[in-house]
Amino acid sequence: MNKSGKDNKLSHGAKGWFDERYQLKEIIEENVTNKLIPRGLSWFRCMGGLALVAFMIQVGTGIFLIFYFVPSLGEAFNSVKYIRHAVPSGWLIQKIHAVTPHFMITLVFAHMLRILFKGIYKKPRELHWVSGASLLVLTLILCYTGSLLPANDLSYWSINAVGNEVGMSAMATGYDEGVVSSRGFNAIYALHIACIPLLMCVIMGFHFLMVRRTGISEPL
Amino acid sequence: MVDYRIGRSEDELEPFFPNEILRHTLLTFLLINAIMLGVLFLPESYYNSVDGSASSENSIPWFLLPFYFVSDLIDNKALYILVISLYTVAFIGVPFLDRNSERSLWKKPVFLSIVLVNLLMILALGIFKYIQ
Repeated sequence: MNKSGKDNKLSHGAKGWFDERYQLKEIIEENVTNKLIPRGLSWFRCMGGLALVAFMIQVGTGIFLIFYFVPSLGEAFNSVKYIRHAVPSGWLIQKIHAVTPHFMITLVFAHMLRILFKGIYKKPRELHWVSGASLLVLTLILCYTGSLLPANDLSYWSINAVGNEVGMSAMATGYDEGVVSSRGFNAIYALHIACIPLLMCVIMGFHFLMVRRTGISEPL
Repeated sequence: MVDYRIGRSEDELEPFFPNEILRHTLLTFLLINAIMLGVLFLPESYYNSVDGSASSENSIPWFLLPFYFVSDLIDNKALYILVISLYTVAFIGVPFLDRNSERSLWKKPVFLSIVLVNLLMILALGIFKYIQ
């Protein structure tokens, strides 16, 4: 076999291996390369996708932070300082994780306003709105729990101003006259890194599936 | 999944790849640029106060300001939770509350007024808390 024939065999080898087992070529052609969409879609329709990108940035930077963050009341703030000053590029990862929620909230809110003003929540897309509005609420709760984790002054005000009222003080935190217990802090940590993100992933999955099923809405 | 070719001529359609993929890719890069500008120029909020007392109330994230202001207005914890829960349920249930078949918000003056009043109220609550 000549050299170009051998090269072709190598380059198609991996692709052919996957295609033989999973028939990915048909799926990719149906959903990407051969797919046709209505012409003239507005760029504002991309805001939902950008919110997803912001969420993935948060998940990615959050995973890096988990390696160094200490979920303990006494050590949390010191661990954040360590991430910022001692870990290589830690300052960048931590700052991106702190800044991106502002953009994520803005994008989700703008996406929601567009849906509201264009009436895209009407039949047959009612559950799109329900899942999307739930995602907005969960995003706000996620940002709130995230602001508590560095255990700094902002966290103190957060837990006093809002945490009391939502019962976190009485039930989850063992709050006692301005002091949050370690068990409560761990509960907030578990909510922020696992419970709420997982719930958001499930709801997002339903949201995207429903959008795929009902399709892009017609213009007004 | 929906086939957009039904009811449309060839002129009214465009390929998903690369057109829509390119739009999303360009906007993603713009978002990353905006985030990097925020990383460089947005103020820090993680520092503790110098004198040991909690004095950074003004560093509350802007999207939580309305909740903080409402919690200041309502002393009763149970009432606060009830108000926020009812508002959240009403917000999530908008498609079932708005029974008008008309899609455009501009053609529904009552619902438009409710939406604008709520948006202005949220904005005002946030501004009041920030000024406070």
